[in-house]
Amino acid sequence: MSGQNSQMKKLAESIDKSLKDCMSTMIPLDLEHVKNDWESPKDKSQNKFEVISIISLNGDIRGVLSIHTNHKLAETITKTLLGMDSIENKEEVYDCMGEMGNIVAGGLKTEAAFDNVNFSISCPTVIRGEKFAVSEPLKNSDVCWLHYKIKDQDLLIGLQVVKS
Amino acid sequence: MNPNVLVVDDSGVMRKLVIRTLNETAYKPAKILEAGDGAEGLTVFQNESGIDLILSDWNMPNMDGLTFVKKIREQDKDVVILMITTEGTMGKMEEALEIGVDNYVVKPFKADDLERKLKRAFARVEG
Repeated sequence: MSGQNSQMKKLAESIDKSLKDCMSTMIPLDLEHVKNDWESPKDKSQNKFEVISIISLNGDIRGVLSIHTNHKLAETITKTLLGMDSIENKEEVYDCMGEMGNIVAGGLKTEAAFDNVNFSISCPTVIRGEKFAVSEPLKNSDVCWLHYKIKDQDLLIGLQVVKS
Repeated sequence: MNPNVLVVDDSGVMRKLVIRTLNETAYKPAKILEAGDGAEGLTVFQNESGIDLILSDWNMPNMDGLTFVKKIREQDKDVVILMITTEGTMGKMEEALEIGVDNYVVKPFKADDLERKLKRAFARVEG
């Protein structure tokens, strides 16, 4: 379990809490926490996604938080958030995933501040494409991958923190 | 009360969500104006009269929420301003209240949360 340390465990718990708060308050879909991995997947064919929301963290910790989904789940999340039956504009899906990343990162920041760990978060960047794999982590970093299922679709949250 | 509302957020989805949530409260808007960042929000505010309430995001490109609020307060002390943010840290909130934000709501939020915060914010101008 390389990379697993008390700080990463605590940050992973905060991400889990933040995601669950976000889902229960604004996106009422059943969320199943499958597992946490403490190293990046060696077989990249296992982790192919289509929409990734990325937020950088800078301060007492430096790193990246990312949320990975496929188009189908991203659309389901957007429709649920907006209370709509269909998506008028596909850009709204990417906008929604960026906002979800923003909310999860904001919750992480708030929780971390209780432990005197302070950092700023960037505006979200959303990458979309066709089945691209999770890349290698930042150099010399601790990693955690939180795996979830929503309506039988995979949602993956990655946290990479540069070792101090 | 049915206020004229300006919603400032770089996310169109969040603007939609805020407006939808606002419609579920006792503060259902009479008129809604939207802006995608602080600079655009400032232009809309200067060109439109009768705005009673501003709901603004914090982190936005071009002009962030704090700068936007400072500039609004230079021109108008009465308009009610509610900040919508993902960051619930006390230092940030104190900074926002000091520069003239009436209240804030932390994302994620429900209609009840928004209504409660709006009630407190409007108490300032009504009282």
